[in-house]
Amino acid sequence: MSGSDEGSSRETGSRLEVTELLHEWRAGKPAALDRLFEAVYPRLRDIAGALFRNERLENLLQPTSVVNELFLKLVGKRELRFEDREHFYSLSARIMRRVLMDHARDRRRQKRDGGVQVPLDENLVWIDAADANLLDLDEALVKLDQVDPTKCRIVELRFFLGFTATETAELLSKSKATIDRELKFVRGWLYDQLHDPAG
Amino acid sequence: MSDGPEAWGQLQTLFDLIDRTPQPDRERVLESACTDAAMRARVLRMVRGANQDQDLFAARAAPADLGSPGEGSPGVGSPGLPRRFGPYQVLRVIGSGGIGTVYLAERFLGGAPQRVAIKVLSPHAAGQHFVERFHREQHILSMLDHPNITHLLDAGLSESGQPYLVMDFVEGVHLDEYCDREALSVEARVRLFRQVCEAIAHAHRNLVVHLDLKPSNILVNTKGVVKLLDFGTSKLVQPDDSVTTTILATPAYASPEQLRNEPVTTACDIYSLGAILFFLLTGEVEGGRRSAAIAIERAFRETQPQHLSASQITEDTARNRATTGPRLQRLLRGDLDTIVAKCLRPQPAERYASVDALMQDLTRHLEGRPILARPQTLFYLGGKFLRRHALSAGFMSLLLVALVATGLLAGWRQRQALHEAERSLRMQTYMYRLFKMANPQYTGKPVATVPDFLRVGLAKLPDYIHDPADLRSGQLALAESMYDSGSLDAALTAFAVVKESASRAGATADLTEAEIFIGAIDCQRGRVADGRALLAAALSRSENDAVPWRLRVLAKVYYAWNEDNNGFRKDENLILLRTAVKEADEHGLAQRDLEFALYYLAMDLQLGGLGVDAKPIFERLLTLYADDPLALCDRSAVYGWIAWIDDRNGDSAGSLAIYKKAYDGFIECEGPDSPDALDELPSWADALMHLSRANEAVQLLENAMPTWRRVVGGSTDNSDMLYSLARAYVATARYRDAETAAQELLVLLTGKVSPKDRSLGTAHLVLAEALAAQHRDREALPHADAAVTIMAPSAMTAYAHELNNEALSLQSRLRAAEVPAR
Repeated sequence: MSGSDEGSSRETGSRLEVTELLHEWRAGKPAALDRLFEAVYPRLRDIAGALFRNERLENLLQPTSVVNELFLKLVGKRELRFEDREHFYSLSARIMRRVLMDHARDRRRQKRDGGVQVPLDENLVWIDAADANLLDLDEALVKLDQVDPTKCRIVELRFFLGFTATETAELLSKSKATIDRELKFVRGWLYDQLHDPAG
Repeated sequence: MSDGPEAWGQLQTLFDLIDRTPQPDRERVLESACTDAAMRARVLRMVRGANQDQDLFAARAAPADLGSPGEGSPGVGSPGLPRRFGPYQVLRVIGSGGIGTVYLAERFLGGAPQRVAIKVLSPHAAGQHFVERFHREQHILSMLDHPNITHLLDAGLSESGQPYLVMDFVEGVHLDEYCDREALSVEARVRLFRQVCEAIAHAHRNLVVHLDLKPSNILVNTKGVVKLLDFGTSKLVQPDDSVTTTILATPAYASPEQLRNEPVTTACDIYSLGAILFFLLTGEVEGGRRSAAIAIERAFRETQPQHLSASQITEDTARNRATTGPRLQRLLRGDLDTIVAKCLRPQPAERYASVDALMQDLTRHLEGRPILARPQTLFYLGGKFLRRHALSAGFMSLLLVALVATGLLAGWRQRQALHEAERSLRMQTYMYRLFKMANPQYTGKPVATVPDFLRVGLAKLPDYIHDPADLRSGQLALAESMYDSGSLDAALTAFAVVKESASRAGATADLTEAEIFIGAIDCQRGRVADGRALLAAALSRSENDAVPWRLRVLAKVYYAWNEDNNGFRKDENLILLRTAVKEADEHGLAQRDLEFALYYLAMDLQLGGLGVDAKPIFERLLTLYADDPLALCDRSAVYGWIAWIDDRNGDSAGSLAIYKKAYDGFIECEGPDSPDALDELPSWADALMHLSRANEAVQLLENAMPTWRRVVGGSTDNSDMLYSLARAYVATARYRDAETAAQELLVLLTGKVSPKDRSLGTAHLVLAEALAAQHRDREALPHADAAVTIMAPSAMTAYAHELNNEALSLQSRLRAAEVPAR
């Protein structure tokens, strides 16, 4: 009854290679990240593209579909090793951000006005915003990543992947109080960045 | 502004400081902490921004930037309400979520106002697909007519072309809110929850799956009647079909298969029902509140559900359920825990088969009758195993469920105050059946996962069964299955654990059982002295009253058989085996235990040359096996022995048909490459030779040789094939062929069996015969000598004595011939 066929047909032969890339990335080879993107990105682009063409609601772009896709591609049904979890989710969040931003850019090119809003995960109130705002946010995050990559990762996990504060803390082996404090700081910093373009 | 590491660190320190400082003191504190005015301004802006509730972009986004499509009805929070939809006058917004907004509206029918709820697509969701989904909901709602499902009253298009649905307006609150507000007891919550089940059962009967069940989609009206809302995600299923899922469901209540984006069935709704019941009973979301991402990870890992009783029960939770914390904890143990867990199984097939089945158990629970969940699981799995011949990876998860079920069964039986022995027996029987099917011998196809599977099962067992006695029962069952499937070392480890625990707890029965098997394994591993001592100890301990009859029988059989098998034949063994059969009969032991005792009694008799006495026992076994579809292999083995006895007792002609039954039976139960079927061929060929039909014997064996080489090949198992073939060649005067076969046999055995092994002796004998027949006496004599040396000490049967004499006479003839040659 429950179609295991579908799961297996979507497991590509490249999964092992992808897992290796994940390890390389973990070992500090930044080139691996680009190749990881290449491996998992096209399908996510399709999902996102379909959404914006209002074709299939089933593929509504939200963290769940991204994580789902990544699980199938990267992990399959095998257990996610504990030491890989942090990287897996950091990567998922980064990809989610990239998919979103690319679309905001595309649509801004295609339409003169901001277009319709993107219905995001309920938790993502912060970025349920027009394209122009999203792109500004992206720019700010690029800056944040340069100054303080950990904080950038926290933001990505929390707001692009919908991680709860507790889950973020657990994943990054920090206390929840620390995560709360860092998030509050980032929120203030982003607010400042977005409202004071000179900043 | 550049943020070097130093400035960044300072920024953070100042931010934390000021954020903690009460508003009026902020500027003063900041000034004393920082001399840089720009930095001070920045920190203040950040703290203000961070403490704002509103959207990050809200302050700067001009209305024009919001990208309103410029037509239709505004969303929630927009200044204007749409005035009307068709004949309905809009009063206010009830709520919005997902893709739609719901308005309260009314119309006048014959002067009386009728209040309705109108659901309209949100402007951002106006695409073609959203409209289709809307129409699907309309279609589905129009099919459903049930007191617990909101009625569809009307549908239409607004002036601006937006579709809308008109439904009953339910004046009420969400299910969970209602339960807490009314401080409903656990029992009252279960009763109310049954109404939700009724609604879903109705939907399922109409082939509708809801797919987004959650407390906020379920209202309770002022009369306490449940009304199910929002079939927006629901789908129509075909009876023999499943549809693919959307990932729109709320993760906390969505089934793992939905989260994995796999096809959905009614089992998804059953999962959600379980999750809702979990929440209603404990006030907690199963597994804790978590993000969609982590929920998906759990779905991929197929994490087992959290137990109701493992929830953190606060005093508030208890008070809302009109009880105290400890009492609530007690209420959530047992039946309700089982029912909810069965809904929440990661595998759809392991949940309740239907909402009706779930409701039936809820009703039974409310009426204080035993629920069906546990035994049903056992039957279900049993049936499933009978249907499935090839066992594979999915087997592992089934094992775990089986273990849970077994553990639960134990607990259930405990409450039924049944005798522990019987409980353990039930578990044994169940596990035996399960693993009988898992045994590679049964399907004839090697199942690589079986040993692993047993090992994992054993490792996981303590997670499921906490009572030490029940745990030992489960460990014994698993270890015995390991023993049955030949994983002796793993079984030994497991038995040792049980032995230690039982010895510590003074559990005589478990200790005895563990010792029996450890002893048997020791003997098989060549530690005969240790093994015999353990089996003797187990035998004497088994006379203790605390030891159930099954174990007393087991102890006797294993003791006697191991003595026999290791060359310690005594009359006592036969007496013990006869007693074992008598006890099994008199104390109504399970059929398989009786079969076990009978089989070894017959084997003992037969080995002792008492084939005539063994035959009726083998025949009784046949009648027992007749009822058991799983006993085909065992039945074939018994046919083989009966044929052998008949052959030895002068009815070689009659034995041929019985050998064929044995052979065909093994092929049927193990497949064309059955090694056991091959095992029958040497004796079958013997019978033909006794009838002076050696040519047919050669043919029978030659035909099977390719299979033998492929299946058994370089192993010493069934080396008798070569032996018989060599003998059949001798009998048909094909001495060169006989020599070749006998040489091959010697090569095969040398170094692999003990130099004293009887099979090596008979191999030398047949080679000597083949050489002597070719008048190569000088070559033959050393083989004849070797045959006599090896065979002389080991002759248990009359037939063996016969062969020994054959060897002796050949030896003396060759020696006699040698003297004149000198």
